[in-house]
Amino acid sequence: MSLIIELTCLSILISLLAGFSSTYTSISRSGFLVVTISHAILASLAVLFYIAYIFNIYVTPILTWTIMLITALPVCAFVSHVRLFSERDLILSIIFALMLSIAALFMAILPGFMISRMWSFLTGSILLVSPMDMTFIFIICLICSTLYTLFYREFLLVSYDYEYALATSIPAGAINYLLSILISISTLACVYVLGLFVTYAVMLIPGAVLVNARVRPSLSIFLNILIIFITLMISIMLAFKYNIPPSGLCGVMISILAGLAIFLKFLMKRFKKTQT
Amino acid sequence: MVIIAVEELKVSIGGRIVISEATFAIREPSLVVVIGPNGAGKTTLLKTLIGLIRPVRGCIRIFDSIVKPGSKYPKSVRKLIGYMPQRDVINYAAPLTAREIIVSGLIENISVPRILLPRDSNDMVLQIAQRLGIESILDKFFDELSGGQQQKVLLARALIKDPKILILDEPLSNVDEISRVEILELLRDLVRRDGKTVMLVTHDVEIAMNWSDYVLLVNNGRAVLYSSKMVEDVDKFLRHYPEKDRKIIPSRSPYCA
Repeated sequence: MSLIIELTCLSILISLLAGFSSTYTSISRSGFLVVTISHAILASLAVLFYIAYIFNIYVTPILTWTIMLITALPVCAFVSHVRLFSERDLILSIIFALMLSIAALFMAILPGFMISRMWSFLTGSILLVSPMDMTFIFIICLICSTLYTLFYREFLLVSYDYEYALATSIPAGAINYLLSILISISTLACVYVLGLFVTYAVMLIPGAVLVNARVRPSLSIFLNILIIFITLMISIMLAFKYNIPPSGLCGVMISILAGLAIFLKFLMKRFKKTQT
Repeated sequence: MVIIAVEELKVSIGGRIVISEATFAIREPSLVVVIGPNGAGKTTLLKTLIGLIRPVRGCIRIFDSIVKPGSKYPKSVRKLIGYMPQRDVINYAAPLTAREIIVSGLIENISVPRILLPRDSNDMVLQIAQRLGIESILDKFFDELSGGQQQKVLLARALIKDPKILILDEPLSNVDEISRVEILELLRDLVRRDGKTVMLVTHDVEIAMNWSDYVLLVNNGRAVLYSSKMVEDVDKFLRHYPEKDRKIIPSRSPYCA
């Protein structure tokens, strides 16, 4: 029973983080940032595990979280200074390719028992999250959700009209940086719990679909949190019943839901066209 | 009284000098039309005036505040200026309504945290929308609006904080003739009745001739202010840039002393 409560709490925390981030990621066109940060984390963890193996160090959760933060923050600090989307995406794609290569390189030379630990960052380990990790995720969720809420108007402004924001007396540059940091930290927590692949699904798809359907940002945040929470809970229940990885199920469900939503929109558009 | 003064201003972007010498002063509320060929540096000049680009040399004076190379652009000055950027810098991915965009112009007037809007914000939006004739489109999404309507929404956002100076970058592009006259009448009204100073960039020589109090001609990296009554043929100015008519305002003036 306590495991179910624990998993429900974890799902709420992850839904909050991913729900907020998904909307802001879509509006600020930071999808590439999410992909790059998650691969940078993978590369840094691969290097960390290799060093730990060579020097026989025990990799504690604190060390893991610290390394993930140290990797993520410089990347978003660097790219938040680039104003042009095309330039930013180019820089991110270079970092992404470099980090993926480093990850592949180090994962190839890691011993088998460590590969399985690395694998959990790809596929997720929602059922194996320790109390220490829960505490970290709770703190991250509290900080991120509070800041996402408090700076709602500022984040929207820098996302849709950065030039105008710079011309006002609000610190637009700092707010843009803060948004990148919050998206990166949320990505980090999602990768830790849900794994790399599902992080894309929860952090990119629901927000993008809702923004595409012209749902207003505040409602989009609420709907994202709800959708991610429900799919996570259903995935966990099915995982218990059929012994399948919950993260994978969650990713599949969100992708199918998104596909259905887009198909529905297409049908409605066709229907409206035939009506006129 | 000096509203905007620029003295021996030099601006470069990425090592390329865009404005090599600009000196002018606006001393009374006026409608100033900034005109010049493409790539002449009109937008750069406006962005320098609002502090988005730092000058290399010279100075800018806005009322009593002076901005020099290396000095920080004062926040108090930003609150006095309403800015309308070109429409193409806006990220259309954000599903925001016209109302939400206009309200975002109030962001500076809201105390931190800015999550809660002032109680009278709806009235303020409605008032400004009525003045621009866009009250019926307030709840439509920005990307669903026509080019002219989008321009009016952005103008409303610049106006809502009641600035003393309005700096508008091509506010009349993609605007139909009727709306164009409406906007120009409103701008002239803002100058005459409300005592605001409006600087707008346009490519339309006719607007410069018929609507402006001053024409700020930007060409070959230089910017010179003319009284519009003295400009008979702006086309001729753009082509020949006659030396004899240059510098109505003396270049060595004590604006930034």
